[in-house]
Amino acid sequence: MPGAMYESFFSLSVDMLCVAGYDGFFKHLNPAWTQTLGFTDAELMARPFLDFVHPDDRLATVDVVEKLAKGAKIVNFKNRYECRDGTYRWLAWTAIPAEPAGLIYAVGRDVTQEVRAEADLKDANLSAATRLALLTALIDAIGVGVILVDREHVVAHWNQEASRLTGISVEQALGQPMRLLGALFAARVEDSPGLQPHFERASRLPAESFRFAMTILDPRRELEVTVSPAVLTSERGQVGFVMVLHDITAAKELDRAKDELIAMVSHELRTPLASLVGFTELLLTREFSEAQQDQYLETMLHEGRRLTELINDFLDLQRMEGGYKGLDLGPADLRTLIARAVTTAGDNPRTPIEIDLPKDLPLVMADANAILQVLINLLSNARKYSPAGGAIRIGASVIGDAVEVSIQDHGLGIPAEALSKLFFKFYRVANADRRLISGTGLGLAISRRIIEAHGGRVGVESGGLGQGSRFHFTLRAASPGAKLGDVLIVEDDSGFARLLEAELALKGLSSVWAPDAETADQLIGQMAARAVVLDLLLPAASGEDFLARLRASRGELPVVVVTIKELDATETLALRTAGAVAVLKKHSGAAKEAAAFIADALTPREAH
Amino acid sequence: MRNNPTASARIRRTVIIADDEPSLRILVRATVGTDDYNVVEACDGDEAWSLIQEHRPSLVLLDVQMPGRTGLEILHAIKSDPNLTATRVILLTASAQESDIRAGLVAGADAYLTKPFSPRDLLSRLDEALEL
Repeated sequence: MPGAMYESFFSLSVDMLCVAGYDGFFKHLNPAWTQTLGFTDAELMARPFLDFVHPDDRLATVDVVEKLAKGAKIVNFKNRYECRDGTYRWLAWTAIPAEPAGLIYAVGRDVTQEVRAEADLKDANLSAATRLALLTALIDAIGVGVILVDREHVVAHWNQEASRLTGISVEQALGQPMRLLGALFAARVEDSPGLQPHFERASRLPAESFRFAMTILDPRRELEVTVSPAVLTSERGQVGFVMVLHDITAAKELDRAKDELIAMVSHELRTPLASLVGFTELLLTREFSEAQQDQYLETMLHEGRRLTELINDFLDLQRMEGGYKGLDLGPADLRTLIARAVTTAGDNPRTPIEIDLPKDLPLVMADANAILQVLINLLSNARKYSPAGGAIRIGASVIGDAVEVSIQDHGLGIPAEALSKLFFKFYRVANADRRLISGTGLGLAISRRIIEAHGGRVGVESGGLGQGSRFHFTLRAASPGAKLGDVLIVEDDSGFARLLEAELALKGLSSVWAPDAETADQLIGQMAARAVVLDLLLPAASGEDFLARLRASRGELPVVVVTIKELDATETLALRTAGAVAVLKKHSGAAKEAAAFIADALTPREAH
Repeated sequence: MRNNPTASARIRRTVIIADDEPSLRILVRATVGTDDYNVVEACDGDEAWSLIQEHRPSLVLLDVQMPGRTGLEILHAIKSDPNLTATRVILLTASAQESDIRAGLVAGADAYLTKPFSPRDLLSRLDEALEL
């Protein structure tokens, strides 16, 4: 072909044609170069061609040139060339060594669109895989069972919760045709035939979601199953369904427990009501002798009281099952609490109560009133279940950083099989020897809640029927930290004590609360209190006596007395003489006033 | 009815009240009246069963929930004892559950009373059961 014809073809090509030398410069370029890159021939030939190649592609381009120099017949490769506007375009090359040697012929085509599309596709594939991995991880981590049936009508996903709940492993389930789903569950559910219609409905790909309940056997679990259609797009329609398994075992259990409780409470309430309603109607409609009338009225009174006791106990229990937020913990002297409980229990020569406590009993962290209730309950049980009499002994011992209190009786005892159920509400030992002993069946349940709310434990031992029983509970000893504070508050009303604490805290003063004078006596010896707020009407020893003891041991300590007691001038004077810096009447603002007096007394005085 | 001359002239029928609540036994005794009936008290299921066998009473008032044998167990025992075909049974219960009532009537109780009950109702059930 003559040279002019070559040149025409060279110019016509939409592909980029070039002749380059091994010196690194273009020798000849067709117009497609300028059309594609925007540079003129002169510009392109003024600099080494590598200058126009994307820096990342230069090494590869040099490799190609070397291959051709070493005799390669043909080389295909891609690189990016710079455009006049600073962007790059992808070019696909076919290069051959020219004859005679010393030159390279190369044909390039702009493949930028294709390369980008390919890269986009790669990106798209990658993110779809990533998304799927994330979704799978999400479905596996989620706390509900998820089963996915896909457009091929086979189980495509069975998450870990689904296999935990159903006992059917992922391997067993994956790839199973959806029509066999019911068969997969058959051996593991209660009432399998009853469930089949639900599985069939699911495998007919229903357009609406629906729910059914399923009980898995061994271990028993109650599940709520929601089947939802999976619709891909409106054109392609439904492609499968999702089955979500919700574990409702705990909720059902709670429901059952609640129903049981309501049934029990209703039973317990109806029994005394039967007497009240029955005898009232009889007394209104019939004539009875005076002796009979008395007997019936006494029975009514007894049953009315029992009803009241039952309601009080029940409310106590409900309050405590809600977490017993009302617990007012502070250091407390067990010796005093026990003495108070024994006083409340009263004297009974047939069942005398012996107190046997070690000398060095530490203070415990307790809500004094709640623990008093436990002690009174245990003492009253010990009496009640000792119909033939016998001594009752209250003891205590220090075990590690806890104190164990025990109440031992010589009464009816407890059969072994009843020991574990004794602290359950409404549980009562059904034995002929105690059928005349009435009770609500709530006392021990309440005691258990109180002790557990303190972080302690309750327990009972008995040698069996006729062998007496020993109830015990533990309380934590008050830590040294709980006994440190600027001010000692001696106050049996926990509400007012908390108010004082808050007012003192506003003055920058820390405080420790003692619910009685005996606890205060112990605390004052252990803590570095700099002042005292004192109530006069205390459960055991009086505030006045405490003040006198305090004066004798710690003469200089400022004391503010806050009391509801009506004091006459003589009594007020006596308190002032005994060292009270202020005597306040207990009212709503008294806590604030007391805190102000204490803060004032503790402020170092400059010479006036 | 209650105070007609023939009733007092008749031999007093025996009624057993089985309930672990002493107050309820007093109530039944006061309601039924000792002029018309010989009222025998049982404090639990086991005592009730031995008294029933001993007295073969015309009627038994059975508390459903009591220590030892339950009211329903005793009802079944009465129904399967050929010596006690004449004994009528009224169940007393502090549970107002539909299912319990059905179970009692299916087992052959003549009547069923839920606590608290009116003494007047107790008497009418008693009269109906004994076909007075």
